[in-house]
Amino acid sequence: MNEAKDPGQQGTGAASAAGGQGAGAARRPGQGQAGGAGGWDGSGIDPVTLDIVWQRLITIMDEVDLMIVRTTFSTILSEGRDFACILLDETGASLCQSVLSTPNFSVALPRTARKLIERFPVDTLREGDVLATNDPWIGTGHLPDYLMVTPVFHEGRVVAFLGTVSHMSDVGGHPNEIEGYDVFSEGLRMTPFKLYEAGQENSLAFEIIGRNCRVPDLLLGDLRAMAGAVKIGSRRFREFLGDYGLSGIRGLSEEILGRSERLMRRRITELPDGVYEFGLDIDGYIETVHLQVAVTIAGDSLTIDYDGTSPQTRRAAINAPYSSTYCTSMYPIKCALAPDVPNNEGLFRPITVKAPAGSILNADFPAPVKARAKTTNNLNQVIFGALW
Amino acid sequence: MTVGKPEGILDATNLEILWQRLITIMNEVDQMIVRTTFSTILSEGRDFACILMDKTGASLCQSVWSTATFSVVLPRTARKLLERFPIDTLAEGDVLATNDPWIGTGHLPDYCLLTPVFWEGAVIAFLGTVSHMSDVGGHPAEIEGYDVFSEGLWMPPFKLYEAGEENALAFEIIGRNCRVPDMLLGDLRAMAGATRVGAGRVREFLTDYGLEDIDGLATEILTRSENLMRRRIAELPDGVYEYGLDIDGYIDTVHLQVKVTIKGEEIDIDYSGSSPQTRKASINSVFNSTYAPSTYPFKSALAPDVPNNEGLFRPITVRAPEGSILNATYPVAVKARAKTINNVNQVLFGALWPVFGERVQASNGGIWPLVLLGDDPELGNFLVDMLPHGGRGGMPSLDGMIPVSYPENSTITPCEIIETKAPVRFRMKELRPDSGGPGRHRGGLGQVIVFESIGTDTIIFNLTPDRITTLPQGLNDGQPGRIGEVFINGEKVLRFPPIQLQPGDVVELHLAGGGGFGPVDERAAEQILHDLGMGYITPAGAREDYGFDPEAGERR
Repeated sequence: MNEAKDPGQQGTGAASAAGGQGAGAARRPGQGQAGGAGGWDGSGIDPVTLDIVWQRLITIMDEVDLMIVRTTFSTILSEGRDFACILLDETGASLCQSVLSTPNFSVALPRTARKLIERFPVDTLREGDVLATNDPWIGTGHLPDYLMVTPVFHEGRVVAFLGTVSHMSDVGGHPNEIEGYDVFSEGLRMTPFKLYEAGQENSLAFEIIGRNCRVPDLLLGDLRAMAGAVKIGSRRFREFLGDYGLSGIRGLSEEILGRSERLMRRRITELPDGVYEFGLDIDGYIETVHLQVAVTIAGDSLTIDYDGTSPQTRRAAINAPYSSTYCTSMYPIKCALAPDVPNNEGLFRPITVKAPAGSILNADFPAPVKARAKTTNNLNQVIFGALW
Repeated sequence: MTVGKPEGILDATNLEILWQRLITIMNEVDQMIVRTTFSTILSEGRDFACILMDKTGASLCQSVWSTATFSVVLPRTARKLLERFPIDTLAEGDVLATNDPWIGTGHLPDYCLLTPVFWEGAVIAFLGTVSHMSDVGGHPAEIEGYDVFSEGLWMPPFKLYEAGEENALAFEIIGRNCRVPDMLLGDLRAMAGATRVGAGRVREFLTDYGLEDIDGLATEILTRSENLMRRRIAELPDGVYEYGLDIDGYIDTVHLQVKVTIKGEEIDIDYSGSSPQTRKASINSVFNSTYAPSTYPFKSALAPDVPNNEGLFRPITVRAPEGSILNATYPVAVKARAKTINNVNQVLFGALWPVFGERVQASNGGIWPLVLLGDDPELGNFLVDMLPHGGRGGMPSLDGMIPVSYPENSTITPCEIIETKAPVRFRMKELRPDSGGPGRHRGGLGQVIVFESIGTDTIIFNLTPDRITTLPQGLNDGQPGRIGEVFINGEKVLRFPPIQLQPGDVVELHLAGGGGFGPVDERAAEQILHDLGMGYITPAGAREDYGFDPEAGERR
């Protein structure tokens, strides 16, 4: 069996160790409220203050969310709400999201953010830059989803990122949904690029995106709406830093991620150890697809392994890149074990997802992926089948 | 030799020397492209053009092998590119580009590149190339298609190079949206590199002849050419000449209608009455891709002796109703527009044969572009193409030619090259007896091509056949050529989405023959006997098509 060859996934183990250490750091309660201690980054914050601060961040994301709803042009965003807005720390880990954000997107974005930062390192970024991509293998698994990551600057350095994921009305390509032979037929693929450079629209990118779209006004309008809403979000975030006298959120982030991770590990520990298996036949297209899972609960960690699942297909666009399998696998566990905690990446650290390379749940480039949801929407059923 | 700055009139001898030198420069650019490109469609198929333009974008000459229609289009594209990037904003090392179908040649695979030539700090000319790229993404279908958005990446006018630096974002997007990025990016770099060398040669030319610019030379070339074309047109009898022709289209037959008005020294071509554009197939032609094959037959017929330049086209206007299949509007599907416009010359010749005399030919068997692509354990990610042709039409004084490239002058990728790059084996490529349309002058023979998939996996096979539902018509009472047919494993095929060939599948292409010219009963007995001897017609064909008794050696 092959573990997915995905740097983001391999990073999971390392990150969890770091998070665990950070959790035990010494702290002085009440320092946050004092506000006068220059250079405080939220580390060692007490639980009551943490919750107040965390809710404030969620409220900022809700404002961004509402602004997107009010300024986007397409019904899929304004009415269908097929988007997410997420706050990430300076390493790309998610801390919270707007309450109405699409859950899968929130799981995907931190992984995407780290790829974007790999391409455009943090110390090369400038205020007003907006990084973006719709690459299925870097993003959410199909071309219509544009992911945008905006650095938030404070005192001359990047202290956080605001991210959005949104399903666009059209990105060109053939009009089929399920039928398809490869990803090249499915529309314009924008590998990591700068949508804005120091506040200026990247005119070539805008022109290409618009030209390769049936409804350029909707798509370009939506991209601008996303970027604009995030700009307001950045301002609110800096106000937040000022109100609490924070120089950054590194410590706060470690608190959020560490506490969430520890909670998830406790909840997993409460479950009986064992290997739980389930197989399910789903529609696929032309040929039935089999999904097979083995969930291993061992102490405080949980591994989901899709070995035995059908191979990827050239006959239909129902293949899922690893990132979309990862998201849709993670979320049922989050809902079942930690429904009371705001969505953040710490919750996912104890969980590993494996799918054989070349399977329909870890499809290789350039397989067609447009309708990957037809496959991944069934993952929660397989997981619940194994774990009920 | 120093001629000084050409002011006013260059004498004819000097002009010819200078002009030929420029053509030689373009030939060098051409050779360099053939030697440095990565794809078979450029290196073997020669589906490209390289053209020299003055600083206003008017074409002055091209390499002798350049694809004719590309050379007519590029000046039009150049002016659009210069609208977007004005000449005084350009820097040395810039390369402007686009594959916009409505600005360029009518479909996305053709990239048009424009390189300014700087001399003493100012742009004095442009070197342009047009090249058909192997893949630009989009659905793998050729004919079937609903709109242009399905057909691949559309790059609006942009700078491929900025002051000598690759535009990183453009290269990245183009590469990522292509199935064979090494070929496409390699080809773009080859094109740009060749024009860079060409620009150096133009500067050497200016130095050698002590010229400050080429404005005077350009005016001389364009004016003399225009005047010549006007004289040749004036020699034709005034009149209105009309013709209509049904062509295959796809699913629905398409009608092309033309009215050519010759009046004094000008010609007006009007396609009113042609079929409307369609959403059922990608056979729509934008105006640019109608303009080029409409003007080119006149160049070939009236001024075959003059190097191709834009002055020749000034006395000719082309009109096609907006929304017709010859002036299709954004965003209809256009990928296989050649299937329509390759027939434009036949409509024009149909209208003009009474006055064009020797210079016409009857309908032909079309071009059948075929593409094979896939993944192979040994060959990797492959994509090859071939542009085989049907037989050419009979002419007033000659039989039609056998399948050589027409109306374009691309070359035919050899079977042997394809066999080294794709898992197929050719079983047959031979002339198709009895396929030439009977007439005083027989149409050229079509051909039969048979190949087998010998790989271990599925191959995608794309074919754009022509003349499989409508006959290649004769002229002046000549008979039509034999219709084309396609078989896969013996089963006749009439629809052409991307076909998935399995290992062992056998493809048979029977390309149509050209139409005949003149009545059958005027064909001489010795010519029929000669055709029998050569195997161009069979004894049965002689009896049925010519009423000729092969045993007796005479007409019954």
